[in-house]
Amino acid sequence: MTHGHLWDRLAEAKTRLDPVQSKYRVLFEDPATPDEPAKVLVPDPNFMAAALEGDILPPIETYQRDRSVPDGQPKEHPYAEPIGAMTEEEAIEYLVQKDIDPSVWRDYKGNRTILKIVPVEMIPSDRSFRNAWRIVQ
Amino acid sequence: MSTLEVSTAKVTNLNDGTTTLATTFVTNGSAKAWLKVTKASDTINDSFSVTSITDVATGKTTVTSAITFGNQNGSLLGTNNQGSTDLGVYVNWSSTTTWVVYTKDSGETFTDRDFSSVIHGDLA
Repeated sequence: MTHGHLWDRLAEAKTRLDPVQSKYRVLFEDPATPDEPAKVLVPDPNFMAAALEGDILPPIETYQRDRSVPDGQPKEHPYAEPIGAMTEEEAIEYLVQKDIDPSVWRDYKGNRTILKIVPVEMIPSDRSFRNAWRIVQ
Repeated sequence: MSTLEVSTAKVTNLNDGTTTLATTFVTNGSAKAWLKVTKASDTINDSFSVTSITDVATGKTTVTSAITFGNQNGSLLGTNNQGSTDLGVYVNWSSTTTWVVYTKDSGETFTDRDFSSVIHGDLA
């Protein structure tokens, strides 16, 4: 059996894998919009299940190369050979590189800490001042 | 009635005895990504083909798909699961892999609300 399109693999995986709620969140600020509040990335539980299972998700490098492929052109990641199982920590690093702009996790050279991987308990449950959230330096 | 079990069947058409349907009709008509979110805790209750959500600010959430869409012309929908008197959810493509869900109360103020969103569109 060929590995087929990523969408097909995700559909098949959802029929047999239980979702996994991550114990981590990714807190980050966008250096291009310093006045905006800190953002909180929440991993998808079905993505986490697929990452921990292995043989479903494509290499992260294929997503990164596809960033430069114009819309409407064939992308590499849907048909790339799937990679093996990841640990939860590796899955979070994968997500950072896939879902957060490289200007945050790769290119930023400033002195502020603009990205942190934190336990979910560290995210405030009181959202009264949500739009003032910043990463503690 | 007998049962045929196969792990992979390559099927071009489906026929129920009277109507023949291309299997591509089924896949093309399927939702390509969807999710339901409890906003207060930013919990993804269930989903398909999503890798993460990002809590951007009060009433603003970015959703990122595991797949890339061929364009931003797919049908992108969102619904408020919480406030019956609120304004409707506004959803907007921000790229061929991400979209933003905005929720507002009846006074047009951005407000956290549970929501669902779904995309029907062409894959890249």
